[in-house]
Amino acid sequence: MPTNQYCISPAIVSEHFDDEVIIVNMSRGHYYSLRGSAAVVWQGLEAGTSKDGLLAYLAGTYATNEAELSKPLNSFLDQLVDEELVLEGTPSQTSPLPVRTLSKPFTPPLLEIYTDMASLLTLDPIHDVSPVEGWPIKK
Amino acid sequence: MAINSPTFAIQPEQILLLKAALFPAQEALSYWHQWKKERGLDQFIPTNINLLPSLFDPLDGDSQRLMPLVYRNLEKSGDPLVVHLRGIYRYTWMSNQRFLLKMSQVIRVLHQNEIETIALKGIPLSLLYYGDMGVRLMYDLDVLVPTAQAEQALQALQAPPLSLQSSPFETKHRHTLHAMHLWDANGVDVDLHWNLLYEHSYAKADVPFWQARQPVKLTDRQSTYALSPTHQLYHNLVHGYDWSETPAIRWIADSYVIYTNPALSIDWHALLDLARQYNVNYPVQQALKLLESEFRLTLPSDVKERLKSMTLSTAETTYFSLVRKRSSNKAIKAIRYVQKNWLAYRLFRKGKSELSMSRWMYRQVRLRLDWNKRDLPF
Repeated sequence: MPTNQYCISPAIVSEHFDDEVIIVNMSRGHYYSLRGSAAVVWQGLEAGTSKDGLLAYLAGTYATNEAELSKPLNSFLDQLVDEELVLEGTPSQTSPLPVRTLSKPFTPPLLEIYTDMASLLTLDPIHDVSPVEGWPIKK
Repeated sequence: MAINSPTFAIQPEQILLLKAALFPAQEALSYWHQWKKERGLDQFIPTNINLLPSLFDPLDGDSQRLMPLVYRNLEKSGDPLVVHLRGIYRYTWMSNQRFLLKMSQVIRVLHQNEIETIALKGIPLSLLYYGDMGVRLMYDLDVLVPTAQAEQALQALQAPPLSLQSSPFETKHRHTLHAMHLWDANGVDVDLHWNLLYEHSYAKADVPFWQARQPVKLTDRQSTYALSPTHQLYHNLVHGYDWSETPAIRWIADSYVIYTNPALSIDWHALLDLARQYNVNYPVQQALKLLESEFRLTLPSDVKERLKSMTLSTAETTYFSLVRKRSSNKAIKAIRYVQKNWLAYRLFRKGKSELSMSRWMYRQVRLRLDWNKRDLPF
């Protein structure tokens, strides 16, 4: 029977800023970036929202029907499980999500993975990086 | 022209930047605009490959280190330059996570060896007061152990699994120091302190700080202690003063996030008592005056009165002015060094340390003579 609920792995730490969520799994040395719809899904997972709830939340946020969202959401959740960022199971607590509508069109959630954090941190965050994106995107 | 505080000599642009980083967003934005104008950054080409270097390179180190805090304070302001600070915030957060992991490993090893710990500076400030691991860039991590357990702590951290390395210079002179640098194979700097302040490095100097320590959770599985809010503020004020000859400004941000937190209560009289007890009235008085005049510190009237009537000894004011003085003349440097350490003994150690004045001075001179052999990798 497919899983409908997830909890955030205790092995990771994350932070929200602007429209991005950054996550680090120190034991694996991996760093992840979630933007756009991926950050919206993560916010839902942190609030303990079920998969059905996430579908409804995305549909409301992007004014799109759930049928269009189901496949990319499932695929993204599978990826989060594979990377051990979330675990299948009942979340320890739930909280209400903010109601919001984004004018941007829905694009499938994407998990950006950086697998060599130690080497990323050797990049000079001022001189070696893109002036637009900043660290960790190289010039 | 520097702000009217010769002791700290903070530049007007630094004041603007601090206000942009710390004040409520709408007000902060106006200080940010002023700062950008002063630096000729009110117009720029976003895709210019040298945009970040042109912003950061001309700045002093402490101003550079404020940028993640500026970003976080103004991230929703829509300011076109703030967007470009996003990467430095991201980098700071990630780099600090590495320090947090290392701190939890260090604490675990020390606790396994039955050594008590207090996390100092960046990590507890970020966790407890800034509430954000991405706003205060760290270059090292700092842990305090009881003075009597310093040797044991050193051995524990140098043994597997951490196998931290140390400097032969600092090892030789460790009885003259209050802390020493250790580092891992990746060069992550772990500063092991056995006293809170350089001036007061002797047994039982830190009793009040240990007694009032407060728990701090590093990770789901690892906790340690931090200084109490009043003691953290005291440490910021005193440490901020003598950290280097270039006036540091980080202590202002570190202090602001404590005294403006409505959930915290600062025992101002206890803080002034400490200043008197430890003969650091001068930096505490100067720092509080600056915070009052520029950074919205509101002291209770009786504390203000006490601060105003604080008497400063000549020895204390002379010592703290010597801390900041620099000269390229070797003879002047040598005279000042002897004078400063003689005063340091009188002010901070006499009657408290087991070391005699002559022994103390001998150790200081030995340290100075060996200074060129200082062999740190940073």
